[in-house]
Amino acid sequence: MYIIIIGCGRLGLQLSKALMAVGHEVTAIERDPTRYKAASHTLGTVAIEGDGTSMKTLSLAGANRADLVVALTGSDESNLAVCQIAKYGYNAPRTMALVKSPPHEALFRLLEVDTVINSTHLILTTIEEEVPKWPLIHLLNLKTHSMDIVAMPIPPDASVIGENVNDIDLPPNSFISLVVKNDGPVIPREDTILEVDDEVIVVTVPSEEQILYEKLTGVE
Amino acid sequence: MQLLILGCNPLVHNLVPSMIHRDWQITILTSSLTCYTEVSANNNPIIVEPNGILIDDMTSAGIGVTDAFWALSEDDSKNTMAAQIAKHIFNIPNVLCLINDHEKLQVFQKLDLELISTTTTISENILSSIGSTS
Repeated sequence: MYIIIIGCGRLGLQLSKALMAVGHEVTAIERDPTRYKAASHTLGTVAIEGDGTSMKTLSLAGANRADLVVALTGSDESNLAVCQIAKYGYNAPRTMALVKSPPHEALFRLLEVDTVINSTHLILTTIEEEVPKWPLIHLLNLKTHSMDIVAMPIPPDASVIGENVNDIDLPPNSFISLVVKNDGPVIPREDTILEVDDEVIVVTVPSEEQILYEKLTGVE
Repeated sequence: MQLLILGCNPLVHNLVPSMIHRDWQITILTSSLTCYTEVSANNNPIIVEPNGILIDDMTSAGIGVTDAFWALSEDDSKNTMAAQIAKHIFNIPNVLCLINDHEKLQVFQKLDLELISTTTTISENILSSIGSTS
């Protein structure tokens, strides 16, 4: 596959190396002269110095035969422009963009960037996984429906301990889909009682996460 | 009419007095310090400084209540993204987008935006002028 990467910061550089290592043809474009030198040193002639939003640079990189264009600059505006120029100017079959500011993610999806990488969301997920006291762990974001699948360990002092899962007064768009007990996962049934150290997997919406947390812990 | 303008270059310096003369309420979203002296001195637009997240900056500048949005900065990528935010997220009926690099014009025309290009406009004027005098 021929892949053009715009933005040779640490992420772009490492990704270029990794893709080349598994046999893909890569061109990496970097506008900043210092970063370009570093990229050129690491990647050789695969690196091109230029503005990835410029038609001249993209033509030079062979954007008309690219299978995938990946925009990884530090600017959301540039990343969106790269994807739209690749798609509408060069008929790139697939585009991928990094979004640094989460409020822009919905726009990128609306404008049909094929894959949107939300760096804040990725880092947040990692933090949630690494920091045990974090109340809700985001497992998956269902983009098309703006819903999240989250996991939440039930703390020892939670008000729902001993309650039947069906009796818990959850917010209207939140549903417990799985209860993970010490001896394995259980699909919630009429007789499923929550116990200390259970972990619940919940489908919810971002606006209900705080209420969900309060309902499952009793902590406000 | 409420008008929100992104950017504050000489084009905006020239536009603002005549729009204010037509009783338009102007807000300019810009980090340009010269905007305060070049535009604000003899007129009275509201100038809002951006914080870095375009959609939030546009919201702070009142995109939610504006009748028109003109993206006139020097940065084509910022202009096209801002214009698409105005059009698709806030449903602003009057959206203009300046494209400085005329090579991108043909591509961005596919985005269903009302585009303006100073290069193209000036070229057309010159050619028209030559045609009319020849």
